Amino acid sequence: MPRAKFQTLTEQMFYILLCLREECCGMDILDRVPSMTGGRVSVGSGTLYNLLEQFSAEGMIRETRVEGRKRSYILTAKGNEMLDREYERIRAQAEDYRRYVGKE
Amino acid sequence: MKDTKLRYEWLSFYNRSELERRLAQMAEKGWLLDGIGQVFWSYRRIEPKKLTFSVCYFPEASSFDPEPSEEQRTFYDFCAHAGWKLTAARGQLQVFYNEGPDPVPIETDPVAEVDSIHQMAKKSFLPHNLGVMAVLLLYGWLLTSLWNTDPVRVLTDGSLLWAGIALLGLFVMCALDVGRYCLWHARAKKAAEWGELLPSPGRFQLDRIFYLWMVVSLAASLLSVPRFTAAVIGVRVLGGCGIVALIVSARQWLKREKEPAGKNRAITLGLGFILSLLVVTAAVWLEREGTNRNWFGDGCATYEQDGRTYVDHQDGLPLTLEDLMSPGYDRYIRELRVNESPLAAKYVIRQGQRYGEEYDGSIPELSYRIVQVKVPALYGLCRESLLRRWDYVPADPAPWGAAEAYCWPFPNGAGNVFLLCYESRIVEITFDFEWDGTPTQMAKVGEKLGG
Repeated sequence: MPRAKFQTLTEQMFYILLCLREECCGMDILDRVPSMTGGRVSVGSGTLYNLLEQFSAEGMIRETRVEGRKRSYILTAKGNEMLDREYERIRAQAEDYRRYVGKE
Repeated sequence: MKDTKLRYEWLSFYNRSELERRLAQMAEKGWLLDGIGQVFWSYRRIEPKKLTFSVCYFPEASSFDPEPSEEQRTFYDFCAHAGWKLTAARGQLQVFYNEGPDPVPIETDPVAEVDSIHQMAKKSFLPHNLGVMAVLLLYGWLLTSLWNTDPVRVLTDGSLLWAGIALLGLFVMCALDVGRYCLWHARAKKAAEWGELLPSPGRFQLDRIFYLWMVVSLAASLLSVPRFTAAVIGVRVLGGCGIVALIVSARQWLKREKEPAGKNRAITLGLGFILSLLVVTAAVWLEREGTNRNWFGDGCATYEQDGRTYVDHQDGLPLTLEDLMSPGYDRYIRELRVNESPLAAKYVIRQGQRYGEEYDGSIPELSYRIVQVKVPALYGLCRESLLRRWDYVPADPAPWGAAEAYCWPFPNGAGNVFLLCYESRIVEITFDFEWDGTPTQMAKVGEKLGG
């Protein structure tokens, strides 16, 4: 069964949205995600470009500044809500794991 | 030592991993991809080095764009930030390389990657292949209709038969390509949900077989028609290649002149339409003038009649009017036309008054066609088809030395058509004059045409 678009977020979507809690441009995101995750997660430039387009089209982020080709974005309320929901989902998963492993 | 080289990359458009591997191999040998042409990919010499390549697609791009759009440049900026340099692009296809060790791939999300491949497929690969298949289906339908109405024409027309076989090969190739892609896309979408990019299939040996099939059958098609027809087909084929070359050059020139993509597309499409009309007109002109002026007449003489030139065909005929009677006219045209395929041959023969002369009904004329069936299993089909041409009634086959004979008298009584069936050939002979035929004459027909 295919995953409905943005119902759950991939790791890369999650970190891009997390970066965009404060205003930043695409290149900032490319640098920030690896440093946020200790190099565990990297976002490809093509993937980032596509996801920014899609997030923008879904109203999850909005453009704040345009300097030449450099565009900056920030999370919208809708994007924030999705990020929170994803966090709750991951937290619930972690809690389930803890309880299950803890019982054994 | 040459500093550039051209290669044909035999790969599916979505087989990125294999293409990236090949490009890396070429770089290690000292060749860097420099341009992607209509048919060949060009490489330039570099210092041999280990490079990582990434092949990706930008669905909004078009081969008519005078230069990359702002969005495309933003994408390039992102790639450059991660160390990826653009080495060649054509339409949506973009090829980058990276000199760093273990660079972060351009695409790291298989779902987005499969989606961008599919966007590209929907924009060019699928419409192109489905369009070709639709045209081939239309051709197949026309061929089937012709088969239903006149199977002898299809069986004896080598060019039609071979062209049909060639186009069937093309149809199978397109269908295989589309089918393979659809299967890959369905599986790749599922795999992407699990974070994997499904490797795409390369070209198979089967494709090479179909290419060979097409080339051989097209060559056979050209070889099976008379020289004149082959020349006309040659003009059309060369004209088609010329049109493609001119369109591509015009598109490139308009791109260099920075004309907008819409204007470029409209001009090149218009140019293609006008040039196609010119080629068709040239082929029709060649056909008409070639026939009139006997350019490919194998040394046949010509004659002038009322300001027009006609070919004075004097072919050797298996049966002439003189074999049967004294016609009292000595300027006859004796014309033999042959259509042949490996399955059957058709000889259309006419001995009649000169073209261009005022028709004189008192001059007897003879015309007949011989269908030589090379595959016995097709004999019945040819016989049935020829029997359907006229309202034949059975006649006595014995005087003709035939197995079966049929006759259709002209409704005005001024002639007869006979259909005579021999062992492997069928003869349809028309006497364009009142002719009852003596047993000797009928035996002569059987002797000369019965095979």
